[in-house]
Amino acid sequence: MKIVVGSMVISIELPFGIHATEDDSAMGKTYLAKLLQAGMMAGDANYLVITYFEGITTDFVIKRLRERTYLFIMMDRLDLYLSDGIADALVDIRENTCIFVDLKNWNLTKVFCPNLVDFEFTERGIRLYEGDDI
Amino acid sequence: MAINVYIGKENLPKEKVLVFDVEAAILAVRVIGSAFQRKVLAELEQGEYKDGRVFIDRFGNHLYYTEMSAGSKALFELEGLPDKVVNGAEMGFNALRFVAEIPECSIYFAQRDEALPFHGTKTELYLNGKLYKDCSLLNQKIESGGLE
Repeated sequence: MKIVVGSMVISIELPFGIHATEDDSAMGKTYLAKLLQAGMMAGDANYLVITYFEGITTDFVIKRLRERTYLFIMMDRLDLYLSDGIADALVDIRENTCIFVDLKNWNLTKVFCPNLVDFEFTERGIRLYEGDDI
Repeated sequence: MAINVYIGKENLPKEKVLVFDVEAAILAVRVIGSAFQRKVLAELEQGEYKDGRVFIDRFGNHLYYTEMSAGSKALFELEGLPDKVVNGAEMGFNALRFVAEIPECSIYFAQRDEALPFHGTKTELYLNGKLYKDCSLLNQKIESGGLE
């Protein structure tokens, strides 16, 4: 799947399922989320980015996750709003969607058993591809 | 001078203010180009300090500090807001390693049963208000999952 946002190309070379990065900061996850959000604002509806905001609720997140089938979903800053209900919803939809979670707390990654994602930054884009298993 | 670690909401002292959203609080930190801030920018962001307004990222772009990673923001807040408790939930392991270099800070985790990389700190280490002689002992307690 390729997502073009302005002059940037985001190449997502991941199968359906739940994916996460290594437990590291400053890999570019939030930058990726901001790029994707900009694309969403510009009307691209094939993917969804959910990030933390003050007042975010489990009901709101579940409603967004279930409102339609997206090819790609990014759950940015998930440590701050993950709940059992959200975890269940993600597990339910993972068969038909590629889900990328920004989750650094390993206790919570045990819920999903996610596959590992590697990032590659180029001058004109970001490539997400399968890494070794976590 | 101490590093205070709080695990579990019930263990947070009522008189302390929790910075839950480290993204939102970064503008409350004065960026002065301290040795610590420069080190975080160099080693974590792979960039460099430019001035109090912007830094240079790994690609040579000049960015506001609001564009740093959540881990770097948390570190700036831990160092710059020593009277606050800063949420460590969004800090990767590579960011947590820098906490040991901060002489006075308070960090919070809603839950954690994995070791913290605070070895080599020259300050006292407290976990939920109890003093630990060294990081290994503190980690034994964390990994045992027996936090009251």
